[in-house]
Amino acid sequence: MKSLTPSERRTLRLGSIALAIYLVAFFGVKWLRAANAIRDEHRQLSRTATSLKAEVERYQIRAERLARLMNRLQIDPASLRTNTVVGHTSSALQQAAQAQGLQVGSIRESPSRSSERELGSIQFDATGPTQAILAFLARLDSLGVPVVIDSIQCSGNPRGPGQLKLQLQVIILDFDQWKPKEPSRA
Amino acid sequence: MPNPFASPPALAELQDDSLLVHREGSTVTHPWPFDASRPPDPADLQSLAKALQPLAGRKPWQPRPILWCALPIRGVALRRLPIPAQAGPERHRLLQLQIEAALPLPPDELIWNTLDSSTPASSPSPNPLHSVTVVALRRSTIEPLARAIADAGFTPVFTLACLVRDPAQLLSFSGTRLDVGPRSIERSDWTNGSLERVRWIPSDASSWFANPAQSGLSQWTVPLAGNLRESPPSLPLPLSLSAPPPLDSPDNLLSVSAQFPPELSPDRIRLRPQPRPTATQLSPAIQGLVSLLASHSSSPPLRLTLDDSPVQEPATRTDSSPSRIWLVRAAVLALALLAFPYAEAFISRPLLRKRLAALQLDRDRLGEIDRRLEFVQHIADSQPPYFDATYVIANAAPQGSRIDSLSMNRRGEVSLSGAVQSPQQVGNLRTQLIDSRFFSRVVVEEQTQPQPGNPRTTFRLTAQWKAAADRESLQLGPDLPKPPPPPTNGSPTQAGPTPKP
Repeated sequence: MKSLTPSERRTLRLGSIALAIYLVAFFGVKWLRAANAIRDEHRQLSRTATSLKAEVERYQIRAERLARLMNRLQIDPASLRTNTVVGHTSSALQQAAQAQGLQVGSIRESPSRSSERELGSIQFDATGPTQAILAFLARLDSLGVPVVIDSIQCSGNPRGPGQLKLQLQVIILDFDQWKPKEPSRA
Repeated sequence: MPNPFASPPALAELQDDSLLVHREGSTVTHPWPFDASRPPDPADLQSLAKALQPLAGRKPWQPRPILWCALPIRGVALRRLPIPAQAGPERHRLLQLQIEAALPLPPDELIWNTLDSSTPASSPSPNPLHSVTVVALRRSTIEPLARAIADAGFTPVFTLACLVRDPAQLLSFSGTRLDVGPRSIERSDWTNGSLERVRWIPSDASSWFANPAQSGLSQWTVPLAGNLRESPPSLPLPLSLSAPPPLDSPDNLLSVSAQFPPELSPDRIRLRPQPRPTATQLSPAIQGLVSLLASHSSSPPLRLTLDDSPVQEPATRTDSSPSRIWLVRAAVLALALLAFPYAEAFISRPLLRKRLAALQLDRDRLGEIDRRLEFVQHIADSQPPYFDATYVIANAAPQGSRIDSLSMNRRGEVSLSGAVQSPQQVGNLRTQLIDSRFFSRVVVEEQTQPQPGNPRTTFRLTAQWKAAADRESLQLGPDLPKPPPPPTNGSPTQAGPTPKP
């Protein structure tokens, strides 16, 4: 094979460089555009992720407040079932009353009014000492059921001094009536 | 264009009695007695290093400059050794064995290398043995000089002066060449540009001018003496050179080079007189080094260094010199700088998408947090203040009063009936209730006066407690004891779990 002279080598070298520059210029623009598009998309994704992350972090305070309230009320909304919550409420009221030594009287359940976010109401009668009545009332907001006391009526019990007759009406709330909301930006 | 990352080399020639160094237009001539029989004086070494230091300047980012030093052939041994055609460390080991057998000194006491023309070819040769030309000289001869050069700030690299004088003419030269100096003659025999044999002949140029009449003659006879007469035997003596140098004194004579073709035709003898170089004129060896190092396709054919590395392959301009390494590093750095933003997008985009999907899922659950929070908040806010109302009424009731019935609803309507000892106490009770700032309205709907047989005053009053915002500032009653923990028998009264946002 004939060896190349320095001049031929130089020509070949310059030709290779020129060809390389041409190829880089030709394909480089396309690659650069594609790379820029990917980079722009990446930036957009980064901005979205940062925004979402900040939003999620803002909800940390709300989550902590929710945890405190759930702990105080001893209630977990996710575990409430519409078809069983009334029964659970009635059972919880009786257990709480009996735990305080009250004598449970009549219990009447009423269906809800459709316009309200209520499942129904329970009218509950019990008799017992004043301290037991008050202790029972103090426990009502931590029964683990979504109830709001609608009315309380206390009257003297003719059976003896220090005895009270309690008429209690509670409203059972329907968690399903609280519709899911769009996350707020606040 | 000069490479900013490379230090320009210094070029030097070691002559009979001095060292001539040239770098970037500056030339230094320093006396250096080249005597292989005795080590140089330490004072001479220090003096040489001090003299060379001004030439060793470089930029901070540049490596130490190389000093190419052309050596005379005095004390040089040149051998052609047959070794198997192979490369790498094994070749070096074989060469060491051959040198040990061919030379009286062990390889450790020598500085040696092979000539470029004798390196094995890349293509397999049918002859398993390859002839290699080895150039060797005693290490102790060069080591002090190399140390002094290194102390001055250079990296010393040695070669032979006879290899670099007129390199273009030696490419395919066959014959004998005489490099005549003032005190010696270097004879080298060449075959097709390959150095075959060298011989150093002491001579005194002053004897050439014994006959003053000869200095002006057109025919100048060099009185060759000693061993030069022996070979080649057909050399006509005394030798007549056809182009006499215009020299009038041996002090102006540095070297005279004469080349004899194989047929020893006197009319083809060329004479190259070289006067002692001035500041702007370089010796033939340095000129040859300049031309070899300036060319991108060639380099000095011999490279002798003091390090014990294996036989160095021919140094080319494409090797990994420090400046080239730095250039490559800079290019890689610049490329990385340009590519990293894109590489980040390429690499992290899938991960970011996955992370974004997870965040979107969390965002969908944020609405559920809002929903649950609103629900439990509604329960907490909707609990009427029955205990507060009872506490306020109990505190306001006068002593001796009796409460028959008490009813309250979540709209804040309170109805109270009972009996007190006097009608005045009913008014006091109402006043107390209003003063408590808990109730916004207190109405005595019915009041009976004491009757004979019934000394007590019965009453029935209604009240309305204030809105939650108006009651917030009130401090009512002691804190109630904590309720007992709920049973854990799976009933709905058990504690609710931690919410899952």
